[in-house]
Amino acid sequence: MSDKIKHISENSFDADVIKHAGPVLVDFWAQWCGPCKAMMPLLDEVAEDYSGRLTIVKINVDENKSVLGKYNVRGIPAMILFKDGSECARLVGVTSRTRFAAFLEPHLEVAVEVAK
Amino acid sequence: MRIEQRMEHDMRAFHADPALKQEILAQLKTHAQAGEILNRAHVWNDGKGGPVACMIHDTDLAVWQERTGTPKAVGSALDLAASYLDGPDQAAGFAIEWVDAVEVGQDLRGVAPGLLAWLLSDGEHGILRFAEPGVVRQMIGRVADLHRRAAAGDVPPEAEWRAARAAAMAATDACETPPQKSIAAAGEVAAWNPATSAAAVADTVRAWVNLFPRRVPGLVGRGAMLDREIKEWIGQLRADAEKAGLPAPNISEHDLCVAHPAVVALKRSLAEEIKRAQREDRHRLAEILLDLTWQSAAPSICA
Repeated sequence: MSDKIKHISENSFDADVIKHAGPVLVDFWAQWCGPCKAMMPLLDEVAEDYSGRLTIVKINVDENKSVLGKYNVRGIPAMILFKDGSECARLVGVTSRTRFAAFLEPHLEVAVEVAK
Repeated sequence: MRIEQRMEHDMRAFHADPALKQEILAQLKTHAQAGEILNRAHVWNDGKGGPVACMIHDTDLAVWQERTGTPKAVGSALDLAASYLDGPDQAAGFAIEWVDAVEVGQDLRGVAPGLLAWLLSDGEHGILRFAEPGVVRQMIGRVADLHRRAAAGDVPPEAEWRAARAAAMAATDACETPPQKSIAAAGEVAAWNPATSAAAVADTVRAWVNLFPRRVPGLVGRGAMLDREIKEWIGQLRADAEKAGLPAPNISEHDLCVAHPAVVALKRSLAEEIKRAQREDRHRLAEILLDLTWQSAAPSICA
């Protein structure tokens, strides 16, 4: 897993997500969930691509059950994008790199092209 | 050393070190003998996993690229191709054959775009073949062209990939029928440069695999067609009897469609035929990956 992705818990959710400055994508997952594992290489890639513009965290729903009800997560994998402490977009189920980028990009600041 | 130069230097298989290739091959063979190579992608658990994980003891494709000098996209394709083989033994055999086939110092950057170009536009098995003439067909052709260029060593600018992606999503969203939408979506997921997106390679391979029924339409629909024909025949018999003022024939649709020994045998044979075709279809992925690896080695052998 990319070192740019952090594992969080229900205890640190407020600090890592709600009070975090800038957009945070939360991946709700579980060890037994095959589709969650299928999404991992995609998440690794997204973490590298949007480094500095997006923070990605993962929360294991088996170990942190309270978040399921609190954020109305009824199926996994579920990705919720938080901005300024509020949910601004949600994606449930396996998706492609193309649709994942289309889901994220409207909510992220445009990257500044660095002259090479 | 500039980043581009370092990348160039790093993108030689096994970092041009024969000892590294032998070390990785030996490690794979040890895992294979212990039955630890699984036909599963991106898995590493209790010393068992897919081919990539058994080579680097990790599932992170960035680690794979760094350790083997092989693009992330090729690692992703290798794991996925192995995951569609019949079982762990076949996955192990394929992984060992693939590592064996890679020349020390070989540049494998053309392999993943070559694979995607094939998945999209091969005359017999490619996704393009199933697209109706029009926007979707043009879109898939455009994406396949980008991959062909990348496979040939060209570097299509990111703006071209981005434009192809936007056009592809628009084409998919405009599709009115689910079959055409799934074909368009298969083209859409491929609209990434494999050098920057291994996930897109995995998406495209999965989309191609899921279009299997399209590649054997006669086989997959035949069971349902048989049921339909039997029902129509019973309906005709009943109508004829009614017309002739005779009692309706005592024929049960269930007995004929589901329980009749001849129909059961026919359906079983059909199911076996479909299974065989699916197996061949999935094995083709591994064969193509091996072919492309050999092909990409050829110029460096001649040089």
